[in-house]
Amino acid sequence: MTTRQHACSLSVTPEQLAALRDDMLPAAEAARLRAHAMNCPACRARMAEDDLLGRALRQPRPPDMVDALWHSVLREHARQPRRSLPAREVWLGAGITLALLVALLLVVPRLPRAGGRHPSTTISSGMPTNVAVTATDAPTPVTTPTATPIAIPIRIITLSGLPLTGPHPTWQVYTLPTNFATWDANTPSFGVAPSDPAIAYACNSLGLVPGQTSRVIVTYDRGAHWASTTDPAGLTGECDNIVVDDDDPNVVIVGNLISFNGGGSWTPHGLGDPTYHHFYGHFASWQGSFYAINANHLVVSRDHMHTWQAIDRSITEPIADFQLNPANGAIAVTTTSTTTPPTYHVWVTQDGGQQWQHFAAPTAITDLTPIGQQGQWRFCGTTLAYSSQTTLAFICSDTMGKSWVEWPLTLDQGGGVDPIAVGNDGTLYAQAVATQIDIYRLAPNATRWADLGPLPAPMESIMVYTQGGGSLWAFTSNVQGGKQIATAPIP
Amino acid sequence: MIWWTLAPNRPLPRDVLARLLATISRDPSDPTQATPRASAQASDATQARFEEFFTTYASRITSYLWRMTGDQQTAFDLSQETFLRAWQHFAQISAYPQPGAWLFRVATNLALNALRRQASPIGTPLVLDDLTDPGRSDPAQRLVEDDHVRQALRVLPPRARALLILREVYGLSCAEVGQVVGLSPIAAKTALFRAREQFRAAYLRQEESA
Repeated sequence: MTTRQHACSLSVTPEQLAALRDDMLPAAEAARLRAHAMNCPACRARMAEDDLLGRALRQPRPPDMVDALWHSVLREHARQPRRSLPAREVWLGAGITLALLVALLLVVPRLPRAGGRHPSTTISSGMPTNVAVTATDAPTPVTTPTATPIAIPIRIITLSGLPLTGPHPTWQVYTLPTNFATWDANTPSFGVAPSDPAIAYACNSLGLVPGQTSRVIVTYDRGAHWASTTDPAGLTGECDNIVVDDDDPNVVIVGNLISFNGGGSWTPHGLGDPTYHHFYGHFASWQGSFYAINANHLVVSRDHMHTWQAIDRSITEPIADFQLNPANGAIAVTTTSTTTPPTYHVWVTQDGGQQWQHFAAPTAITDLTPIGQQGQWRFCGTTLAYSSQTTLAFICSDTMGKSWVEWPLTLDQGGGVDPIAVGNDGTLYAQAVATQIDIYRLAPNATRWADLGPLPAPMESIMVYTQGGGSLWAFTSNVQGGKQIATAPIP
Repeated sequence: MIWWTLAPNRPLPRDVLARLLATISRDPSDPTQATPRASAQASDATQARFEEFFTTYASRITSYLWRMTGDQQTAFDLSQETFLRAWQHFAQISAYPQPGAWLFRVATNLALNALRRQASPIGTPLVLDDLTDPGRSDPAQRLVEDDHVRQALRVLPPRARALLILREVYGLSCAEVGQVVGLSPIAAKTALFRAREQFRAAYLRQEESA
């Protein structure tokens, strides 16, 4: 296999051919593309190459270990304890927990929030640590946390040569409360309040266990202490997507429920999948109007989520996502067409959907994120084959698509670079997913990126919030650190 | 701005564990569990149902984990852990419309975590007994190609590796792949494309250097 270049006369991209291979095109579009490919040597060669790669992946024959595995599973299953805990242990554990809760109520400082609810119960706090934490069955002694800073050295990208000044990120790693249990195959899900990134919510998925309800906890101090909210009755599925309102930290969506008072009470919001209690879409509010993506439409509710209306009638293409500019309430919507080749458009409205203007992004872009800042928009994304067939690139436009700035990436950064946030001074933050996850920063008027170094182990994902002095939040889905988070002020 | 959920490999608190175990060991639809003998019969019936479930999926899970980790012993251990968890939650899983997706999700989570713990992203080389496989036309050449695949997969980040294997080897749809690794179908499509491009480049480099 030696084919490298793809030079289709009709500019059919490799990504379109991959979408065809992966059955991600509408039937009519797929048929049209197949018909074209039959007479296009470049597309035919590319599809044959993909077939060859697929065959190569399937070729190695795995060893047969099924019989041995069955006997081993039987043996190990028989060894596992199958009894409930003796009542004495349960009552002893409950007593210790209760005593700790009472003690904690006395030592944990109350953190009043304007317009916020009062936590109904404060539960055991996380202990900041920089080492892997071993979970124990018995409750651990609780003390007021004294965070241990972890200095993360700043590394400069050799090619960029951009010197960095100022303080380095100082991470604090916290363990979630030990009595905040999650279901077997899940780590907690998190949602940070963009308008006040000291506030975050976490939810377990115990609602997956018959007869149980998922539980939501909240922190007001970047994860140092956590308090329980009122249990959201009826949240029986996985709560794997928490969405906090862009403007009001007390408005939070968990699954198919919403709370307007920081978890004090919950009510259905009428969006998403009622069967599985899921809502995966983006959600934002501005001056009393709530916006969300539901069933591929941008919808708005102006009556506290009692009714929803679509406001995207001018947009004929499927909506991928939207962003609300917190400075002026403008909305930017990204769409992906079903044409050949597909085009990526950005639609912007300044008046809640009455009028839209739009522009097309470069065809080779694979994702595009609008970032609203001080009434302006910056659109960034990752592209393949924007400059060449083998070089990834990160591109941005500050001119509504009229011009784009490109930063070539290496294949080691093949996981992509995702824009995360823009600071008040115009600094752009992004994460690069390679063999590790690094935070990148592009200073205003700079042309090269600086690397702020990797996330503290075992963290794997990063969120940057620029309000309130700015916060970095890092999360892990690692088995060994699944109950930990890390936070740091933006340096 | 997306992170995916993985399975914590640590013991649950005792109260939760006790409730889970009670749920697992009790079949509400079986009134005969009131006596020890009836309980044993029900246990046998559950085991028989689980064995059938195991037989359906074991080959796919073990081979998937072998491809993910590149190491037979690691694949065996992770497969065992996957099915032990499945047995623990069998009452729930067997009611799912696609229990295989749950298995792949747990297996993926375990594999990603195992790979993170390893200094090298992929394990020991594949065994040489492939040379004796009569189904292969040119065993020596196939062995070289297998090595190219292994080396090319080594370059991929673990999650990209999972995406590519689930789609190309096991034929999961983009939606199903996304469900396993915690991505929307659209995001899975994009991530899959990137993974395939990375694999293509790495595989070509292997061929050129051979």
